Amino acid sequence: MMEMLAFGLVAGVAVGGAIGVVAARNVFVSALWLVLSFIGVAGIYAILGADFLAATQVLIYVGAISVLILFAVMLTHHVMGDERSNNRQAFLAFIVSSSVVAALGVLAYRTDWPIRPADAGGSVVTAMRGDLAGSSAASTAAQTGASTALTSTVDLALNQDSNVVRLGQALMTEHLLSFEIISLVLLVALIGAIVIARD
Amino acid sequence: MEASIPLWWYLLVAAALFGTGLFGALSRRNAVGVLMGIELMLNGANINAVAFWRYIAVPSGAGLNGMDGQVFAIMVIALAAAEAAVGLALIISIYRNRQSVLVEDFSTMRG
Repeated sequence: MMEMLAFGLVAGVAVGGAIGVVAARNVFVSALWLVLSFIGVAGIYAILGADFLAATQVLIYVGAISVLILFAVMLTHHVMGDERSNNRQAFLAFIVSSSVVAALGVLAYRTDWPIRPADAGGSVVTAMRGDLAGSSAASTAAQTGASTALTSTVDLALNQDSNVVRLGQALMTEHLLSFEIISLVLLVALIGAIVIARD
Repeated sequence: MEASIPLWWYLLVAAALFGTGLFGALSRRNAVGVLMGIELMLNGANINAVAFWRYIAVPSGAGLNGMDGQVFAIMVIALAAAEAAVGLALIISIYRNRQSVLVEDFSTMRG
């Protein structure tokens, strides 16, 4: 119940921010709504148990991309006045996008997703918590010293499947090629942005 | 605690973000607004990737640790950063030449 409440809150922030982005007339106000929407999405990642992604979302989207967009808005300052902020195809665009949302929603609701059973290593966090509780219970039952318990807890924290550890392993083993390619893409985009914006 | 929220709620939120971004990208006159719509669409796709990572069974073979969804989301975030940098550089460059950020003024390449 609590989880659903939290989900409703962050989903409302994300979708409300998105609606604010497209509804605001001033593009600067749009950018501020965009920040709110990004924060909501970070909350959704946190509820999903992807803690590293939530932090990344805050750092990169809220911290970097939003500032980039705000800089672009201010550098290309354009007095909008009474001009329309939407073009003539806005009504058509509304019809198309709302039918896309409706189709995706019906599809998501009606599809019989192969949900993973909760006991098959479902939640990393709960599994980790369970192991921690189990190890501490075992250590107290065996009357081992506090230092042993501490060592085992530290070992657990390092060896257990925390999100960051698993993500780092995945990036350096299975997904090494895509990791290298994305690094190259970032480098090329960096140089390209400098070259384009400089002259 | 696990799975008290059905998967399709996440998918619905992702679809709402995607649709809102689509509307923004299609209907905005300001090029920066179009870019913001694209960012919203990428965020919606990312929520889908992470939700599927959390809920759907992955065939875990030897050496696979089943982080594909999150790795995918990280790739998308990196690409979005690259896209925003290049897109905003383009907009600033065009603004310098044409004193406008409205997409209907960027029609020199129209046939």
